[in-house]
Parts: sequence; C-alpha cells; structure tokens
Amino acid sequence: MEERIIGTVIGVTVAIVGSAIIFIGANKWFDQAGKNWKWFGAVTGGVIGGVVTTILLGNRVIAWKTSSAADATDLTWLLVPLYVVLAGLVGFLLNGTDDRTRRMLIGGVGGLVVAGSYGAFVTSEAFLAPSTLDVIIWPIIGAVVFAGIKRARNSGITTSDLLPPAVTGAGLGWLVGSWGLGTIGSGTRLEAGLGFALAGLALGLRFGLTPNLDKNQRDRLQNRSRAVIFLGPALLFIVMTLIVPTIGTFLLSFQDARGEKFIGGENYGNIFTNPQIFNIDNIGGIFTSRLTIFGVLAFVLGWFVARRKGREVGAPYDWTGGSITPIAIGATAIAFGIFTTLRGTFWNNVWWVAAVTSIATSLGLAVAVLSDRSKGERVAKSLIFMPMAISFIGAGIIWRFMYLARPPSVPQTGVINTVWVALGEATATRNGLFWAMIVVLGTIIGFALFVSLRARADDEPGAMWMSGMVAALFALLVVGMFTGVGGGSLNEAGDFVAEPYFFLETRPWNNFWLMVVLIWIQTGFAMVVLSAAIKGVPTELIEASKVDGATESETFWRVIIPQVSSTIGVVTTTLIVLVMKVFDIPKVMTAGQFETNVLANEMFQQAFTNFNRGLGAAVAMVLFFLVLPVMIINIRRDAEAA
Amino acid sequence: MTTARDVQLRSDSDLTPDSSRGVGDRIHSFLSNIPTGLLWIMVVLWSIPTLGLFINSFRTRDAQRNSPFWQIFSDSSNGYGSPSLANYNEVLITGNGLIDNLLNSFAIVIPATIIPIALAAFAAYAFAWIDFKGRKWLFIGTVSLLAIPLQTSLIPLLRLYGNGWTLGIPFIDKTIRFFPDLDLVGQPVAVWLTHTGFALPFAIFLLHNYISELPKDVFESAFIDGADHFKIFYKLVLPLSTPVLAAFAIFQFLWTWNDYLIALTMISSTGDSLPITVALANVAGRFGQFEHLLSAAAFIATIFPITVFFALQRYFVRGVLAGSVKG
Repeated sequence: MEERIIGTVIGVTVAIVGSAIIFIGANKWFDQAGKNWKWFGAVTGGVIGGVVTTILLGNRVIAWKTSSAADATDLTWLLVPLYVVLAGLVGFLLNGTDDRTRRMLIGGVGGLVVAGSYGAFVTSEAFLAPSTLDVIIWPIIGAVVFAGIKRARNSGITTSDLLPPAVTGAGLGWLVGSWGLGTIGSGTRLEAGLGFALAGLALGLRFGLTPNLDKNQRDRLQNRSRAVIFLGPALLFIVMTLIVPTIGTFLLSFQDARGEKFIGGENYGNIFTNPQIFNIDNIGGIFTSRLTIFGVLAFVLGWFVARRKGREVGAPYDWTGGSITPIAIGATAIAFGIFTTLRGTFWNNVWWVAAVTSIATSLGLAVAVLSDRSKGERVAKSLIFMPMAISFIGAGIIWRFMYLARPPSVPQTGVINTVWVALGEATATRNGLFWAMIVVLGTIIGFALFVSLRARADDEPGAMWMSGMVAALFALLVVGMFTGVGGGSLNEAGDFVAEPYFFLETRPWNNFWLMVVLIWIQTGFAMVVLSAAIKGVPTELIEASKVDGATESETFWRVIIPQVSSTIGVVTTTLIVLVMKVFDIPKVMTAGQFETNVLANEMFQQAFTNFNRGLGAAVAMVLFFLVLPVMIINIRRDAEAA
Repeated sequence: MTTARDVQLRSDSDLTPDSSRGVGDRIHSFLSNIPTGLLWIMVVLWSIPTLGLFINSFRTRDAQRNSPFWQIFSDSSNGYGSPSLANYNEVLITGNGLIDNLLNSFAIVIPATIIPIALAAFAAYAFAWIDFKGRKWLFIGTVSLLAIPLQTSLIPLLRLYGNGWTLGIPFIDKTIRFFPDLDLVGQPVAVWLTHTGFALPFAIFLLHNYISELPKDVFESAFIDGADHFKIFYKLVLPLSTPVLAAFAIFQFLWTWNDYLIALTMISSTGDSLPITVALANVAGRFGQFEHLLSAAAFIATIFPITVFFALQRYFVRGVLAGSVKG
C-alpha cells in the first residue's frame, strides 16, 4: 500500500515537473529567436537531433552496446544527448554565418556526417538492402515533383528558387527509395549508414540554402511559434484521446468482431435488425394506446386555447400558460405512448433523452421561478442542486433503496413501497388512517374551491383554472381511495395482502423509474442556469409590463420566457448530449436487464464483455450520429458568437 | 410567479391590523403562499433519498431488513440492535477495505485535475490573445468536440494503452511505431491520461470565456514594456484567472471522482487499482448478505464530493454558469 502511494506521488511529480521543464524550456528556446540567433540555431538543431534519435530508438533501429556479448554494458541511453549536442553544433555554426556558400557547406557536410554516424549504431535487424534502381529513380522523381509544384504555384521565379524544393523532394525521394522500398534486416551496415547520411545531407542542404532570417522575420517567428507552444500540448492530447480514436472507431465499425476483416455495413445491419435493440413490431399500438389518445386530446385542447386567446389579443396564436401547459403535457403523453410501444435499446435511449431533458428542464425552470427572491432561496437551491455532486453510481444506489420492493409476506423497507403498501392497507381495510386522509383531502379540496371561486370574483381566470384543477385532482384521488388505490388488497379470508410495486422489474415503465434518478440529479443543473438567466432579465422590462397591467403569469410567459429562451436552448442541448450517453445508472440498478438496456451499456457489453469490437464500435458510432445534430447546432452558435 | 403579489400582500398585512381583515382575506393570503410551499415540498422530496441512505448506513442488518429508515429511533426497542458505526468500520477497514479504493481515487483525481488546468490555460490564452491564422475555426473545432460521446474513443484508446500505436504504411509493407507499448491498462495512469484528454475541450472553452474577457489595455501596456507572451501569461493572466481556474478544478474533481465508465474500461472491475466508484458498483453487484453495507459504502464514496460541493459551491456554480451560458 505505502509503496503504491509513494509510487503514485513520485510518478505524478515527475510528470508535472517534467512537463513544466519542457514547457518553460520551449518558451526559452523561442525567446532566443528574437535575442540570440546563433543559440536559437543550436537549440533547433538539438531538438531535431533529439526527436529523430528518439524515434529511431523507439523503433529499435539503433542501439549502442560496448560489445556483442550478452553482458555488454548498454549505452543506448547516451545516444539522445549525444545527437542533441552534435546536431545542436551544426545548427549553431549554420546560424553563425550569412554567406550562402558557407551555409550550404556547413549544412550539407554537417547533415551528412551527423546522420551518417547513425550507421555506427544501427542494429543488425535494421541493416538495409536497397535496390540501385529505386535509390536513383525516387530522388529524381521527388526533386522533379516538388520543384514542379513550386513552379506551378508561383509564376516568374528563377531556377535558383527551385533549388530548395528540389532538395526537399530529393531527400524525401531518397527516404522512400532506400528505407521505404529497400529490404530491412538484410544488407550491410554501410548501406544503412548511407541511407541515413544522404537523408541528412538533404536536410542540411535545405537549411543551408535558405538565408538567415532578418530581425523582423525573427520576431514574427517568435510570435507565431508561441501559438504552437501554447496550443501544442493541449491539441496533442485532444488528437490522441479524441480525434484519432474516433476515426479508429469509425473504421472499426466496418470490421468483424476481432477488428481484422472488413465486412461493410454488416454491424449496422445487425443493430437495426436486432429486436432487442430496434423493435417497431407494435407500431400500430401507438394509435390505440390510452396515453397517446389522452396526449392528442390535450395537445388539441392547448392548440385550441392558443388559437382562441390569440384571436382575443390579435395574434395568430397566444403562447402562455393556458395553452403551453396542455400542449406540453400532451406532447409528453404522446412521446411516452410512442416509447412504451416501440421497444428496444435504441428506443430506450431516445426515451431517456426526451423524458429527462424535458422534465428536468421544466422542473428546473419551475424551481428557479418559485425560489426567485423567496425566503430561504439559497438553502432551497443548495439542497436541490446537491445531487449534482453525487456520482451516478451513488445516485443509482440511493434510488435502489427508494425503489426497494420486498416480497409481500415481509415488511416493506423501501421508502416508496412502504408508503404505497400502507396506503393500500388504508384503502383496503378502511382503517383510521383512511378516514384521516379523507378528511385532509376534503379540506384541501375545500380550500382549492374557495380560492378558485374567489379568483373568479377577482376576474383572474388563470388562478381560477389552476385551483379548480387542483381541486379536481384531489377529488380524483378521493374517488381513487374509495375504489382501492395503493399496494394491496383483501383476500377471500378478509386479510390484507400487500402488493408492492416492483419498480425495476415492471416493464416498460421501469425505464421511467430509472430516468427519475437522472431527473433528480439534473434538475439542479437546469435550475442553477435558468435561475441566473431569470435574475439577468432587466428589472425595467418586468416593471414596464406590470405598469401595462400584466398579471404575474402574463409577465412570466410574455416577458421572462422570451428573455431566457436562448438559455433554455443551451440547457436542453447540454442535457441531450449528457443523457444520450447515460450508462452508470442502468448499469448499477438493473444491469440492463428487464428491457432497460441503453446504447452506452450495449456498447460496453459488446466491446468489452463479448469482445465483439466491430459491433461495439458500430453501437458507439450510432451514439455519435445521434449527437451529431446537437454538435452542428453548437458549432453554428459558436461561429455566430465568435 | 408569486413574488411581487406576495410582497404586496405581506406589506398589506403589516399595515392593517389583523382584526380589521375578513377571514376570507386571511385564508386567501395564506393560500397565496402555497407556491412557495410547493418549493419546500420539492426540497424535502429531493433530500429524502440522500437522507434515507445516510440514516440507513448506521443501522444494523436486521434493522435495515425489517423497517424503513424513519424508524431508526425504535430500532433498539424493536430488538434489531442500536445504530452504530459498525457498518463503516466493516466497509472501510475490516471487510471491503474501501480505504484503499479511496487512495486509488485520489491517485487518479489529482493528476487528472492539475494537468488539464495547466494545458487548457495555455491553450485558452493562445486562442484569446495570440493572433495566428485559422484561430477562430481551430477554436470552434476544439470546442465542438465537447459533444463527442466518449464511447467513440474507448476501444482504440484501450488498444493504445495496451499495445501502443503502430501505423502500417500501405504498399511498402513497413510499420512505424508512434506510441510505445507501455502496458498501461489496469493502472491509474491510463485513467487520468484519458480524463485529461476528454476534459480539455470543456476546460479550454470555460477558461477561454474568462480569459478573453480580461481587459485589453492590461496586455497592451505589458507588451509595450517589452514582456513576451510567456511572461504575460504567468505574471498577469494566471493570477487574474484564479476564480475560473478554481471553478474548473472543482468541476474536474467532481467529474473524475464520480466517473465510472472510464475507470471500468481502463482498469476493469478487478485488480488492486480500482477507484471508489468501481469498488462501490462491485459492492452493489454482490447482493444478499452484504446488502446492509451498501449504504455505508455509498456514503463513503459520496462524502468527498459533497463536502467539496458545499464548501466551494460559489465557484462550482460559477463554473456551471460559465460553461453553459456564453458570456
């Protein structure tokens, strides 16, 4: 244990100090470009030498042992500093003179000698046997092609201007002809040494051919290189962990299970013909589902209200609480109707995105509005925000205790089922609790009716309908209690039998109970962002609308909502991206069983449990394509803002 | 929706003596506060799950199996044994040894927080204050990577850490090695390297929003005094950006501490490098006789992020806002 801690500490320290030294060193290096041109040449040469030597070492092309005996001292580690010094010396000399011939001489000879000396360290596995034809033809082709490109792109240039690209082309052609096409592993040390030496000659000549930069050019170089140094490390990491792997996954998704054979679109075909993932057999059920029918009715009602109220205020439609609320409820019901009919992992994912995004955003908005400038705002917001700090795994476990259902014969201990079964017992046995609840509910209905009537007298239709609806809702509950709401019933002998609700097993709604966990977490996020946006609405606007005689609810729908609509958009897109890749919650609560699987979990199982890498990659790409529209929206928004 | 009218009503009742108002008025004013009441009902609903878990973590196995959490005070009279720290002792030290997993988590979280901050600060500065060609589109491209689901990176990354990266050049049958075979799979390094890469687009976005808003004349006068970018960066920009650096640090701490997917992929669910989330999921996966330990284990995994959250909430909120609402 202690060893591991010390190891970690040392590792992290080395990584951080090492990166800091490299970074500061890089900055100092380019400082020299403006101050001391000779030293800049030395450092540049040193860096080139170091990088080339490291690559050769990494590919096991060169090594340095005192003898060929097995117990010979390994001096390989000395090679990097050695070549840093050698190449640095060449750079130093090269930048020390402005004379063209001298520069060519220093560069050419220096490159030839330094690179050629690799031949002394080349391992026998890397001996080179090039074909004579290749090493003659390819440098010529390279020189001609590069000079030709230069010629084609710039008009009116002299022959001497064509020399640098020709040298570059010849050098690259040499590399292709010797190391690229030659046989590595047979041949001689001399040929390998020549292979290095002539490449070095080309590189050195190329530097020698360009004149030294003047002061202005040096300053510009210093400035520009700073962008590279500052961006380099971050972009390198991004390319390594995001861009290259994503391209890799894309290619892999067209390959077989072991990633060896190209099989075209078969993986994608398998995904969308698998009824576990993509099942639309019951599509006709959408039209008979009670949810969709109710949803359509609510939607039409909302539309109708919008139209009618719109005519009153002289607009085609009026989007306020009276119309938006039924439309939102209707749309949600229709969506739930669709997603309980279309089954499979893919549709589960879409359901997750639709439900969590819309509900968390609405609840967040509601809390933001309710808490705005009310007593104890900070405490309330903190507590609702707190789940954001809990891991999805932790949240899944927390909610497993909420949803816990024990067999009917033993006492329930899950929070919700304890209440649910107690309610069932009350309604089934008509005990004291039952009548107490009836009294409480009756009082609430009375109050609600009272408020409704009073609002009617005050001519506030919004409040009137709102409290009327509350009264109706509670009246429904009372009716429900008489007809047996709750988890349990009486058996023939007249004894109460508990019927706990199995939240995680009852399909298809178990999916929704899992979504509740993420809603519980993300409402806080939506609330914080929207609350800040609401506080950002200019007070004058709100005051002005009040002066014009708008009620609270009108102010909310007509002033505040339009002002925060772009923020709502941001919250929605953020949540869509987040919910699309949900993984931990289904994993820890149901492990994807009982038809609650999601794409991220499917991907994990295929790639890392079944070792079907091609299929796993294809599932990952499906996720990617689902997120793509959001990405495009974000890019557009950024491009506008930038 | 309530506020203004509530204020109105409240000030009315301040001015008028209660006796002069009708019963109806008083009931009405009471009922008008219901929306605020709804808020508090929601707060209670939102707190119950965590509270229930916390309370259950102290109760004995019998107690947890026979009664809901709110009956904790009658546990000993019901004969289930009184609440104690025994569960914590067992998960942390004697039984599951979660204390090792906590240390593993720190071994991942610390580098995964510090390194991206440094890299992103350089990059954000370059995007904001160094003029170069293609700056705008490079920045947009970087930030748009925010939305990429990390699932698309996992399979090739795992291969990279396990086997290195060699590229075969077509037609001439040669391979070049770009990334050495370091055999990182199963070690914390693999996890924090991955976290670093994945965090960068967001970190650059967040820090850029802040650093690009710093006053321009500060930079100009520094340039005139002969300072170069590097000097400006560490003498001016870093000290001025402390708030946003703190905001990102908290964000990244929570995100890496709570991460499960990357750790599970790069380390798998066995071995002795498991961070706390993977260990916790393992405890959750073993049903039955250890179920009573689960709440204590979950609370241990949660206590660090929650503490950080409550202690530094101001910065965290700032991070959330800066990350989602463009300035």
